[in-house]
Amino acid sequence: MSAYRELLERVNRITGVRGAMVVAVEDGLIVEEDLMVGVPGPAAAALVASLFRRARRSVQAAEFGSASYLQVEGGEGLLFAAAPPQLGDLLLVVIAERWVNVGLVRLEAQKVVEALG
Amino acid sequence: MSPATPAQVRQWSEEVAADPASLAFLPLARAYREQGRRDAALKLVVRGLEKHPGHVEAHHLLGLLYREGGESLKAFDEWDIALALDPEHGPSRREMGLVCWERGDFAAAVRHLEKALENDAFDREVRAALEDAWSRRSAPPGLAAEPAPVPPAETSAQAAPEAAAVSAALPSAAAAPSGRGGSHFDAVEGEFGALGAERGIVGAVLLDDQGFVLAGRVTVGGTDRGPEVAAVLSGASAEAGRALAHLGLGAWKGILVETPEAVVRMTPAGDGIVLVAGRREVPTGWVLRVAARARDAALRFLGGGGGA
Repeated sequence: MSAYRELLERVNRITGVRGAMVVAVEDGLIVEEDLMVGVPGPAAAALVASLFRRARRSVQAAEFGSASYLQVEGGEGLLFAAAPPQLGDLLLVVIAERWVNVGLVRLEAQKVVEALG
Repeated sequence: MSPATPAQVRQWSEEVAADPASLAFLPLARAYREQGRRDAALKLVVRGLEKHPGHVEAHHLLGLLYREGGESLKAFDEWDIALALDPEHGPSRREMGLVCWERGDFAAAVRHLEKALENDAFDREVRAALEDAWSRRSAPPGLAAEPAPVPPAETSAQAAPEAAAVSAALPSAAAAPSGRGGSHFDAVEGEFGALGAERGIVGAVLLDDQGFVLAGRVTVGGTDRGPEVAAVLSGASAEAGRALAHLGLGAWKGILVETPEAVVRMTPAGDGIVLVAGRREVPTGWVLRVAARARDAALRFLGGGGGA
């Protein structure tokens, strides 16, 4: 099992998480995925990576430094994209229900990414 | 491409009516555009993209429709998405190149236009813009401000100036379409000023749906960065909306971006958008609470005669 796969499986154990992916920031292609049936991975990966690039441009324009985390909230669910230094030019993308414990997702993502480094 | 026949339009229309997920929305929208029915085409493509958010040609067409409506920032966003989905998409590369050239971003223009020319070596408009961009990309900033005129072509980019450039160039009070100069504006400006002065908060701004700042500021190093942040991030709402819709996650309620130095929160407020930036030293939850108050202030303003 790849290190990324293990990372995704740990994040997916959190109640309310519908799936997680490791995605290349620049082209939005999936490197590894572990998604529930029905979650359209490739399109979601491309769109989230595009959103992350835009967020990165925006905070750089404001001289706030480089974006490390993006959270998009919808009425029925959430998208997370984290860009920890341990993942280089890759993003950890998580798709979750609206009622998910956001703090727990972030904490678990941080723990598994630190384990990678 | 020859114009669609009435029979084709009828067939596509019936297909879309029978199955909202039908890909016939694209040729039908193109036909509507050719007939000058821009609004109908726009609605059709937006609806189609809700079902097919990864459809590159639809993003490209939506970009053209936005540009024709004078919404150059949104157009730029659509071509940006199209290229994110397919970096080899020549038509989007072409339009991005021409927009960058018009904005005076000659290095980016050269990058896009060179690729566009590989796709169509006989595109006179692209060639002329590329030659101009080549000559200007290393020129001093003051000399590189105004692109040379280019012979118009069928799809000439007549886009309005990029919202960021306009917003950055104008005094902030001149950027709002309405609601300025009266008590509504004074009230919201005062409220956003007070929110921006809260503990750990860098600034708070209210934007319209085009990315123009209506009230407030985000001051970094003595400079108001609100227009720059707004111009780039405001387009994210449409993109976020489509991503969420595609995943069945509902309408967008907010975006949070974190950096080692800052936390930036963006939320919809009526037909406007509120953006609040805080320093990383303060808890994220505090920034979210200030953003919620900014949203309430924005809704009062927009609902009380301050809307466009």
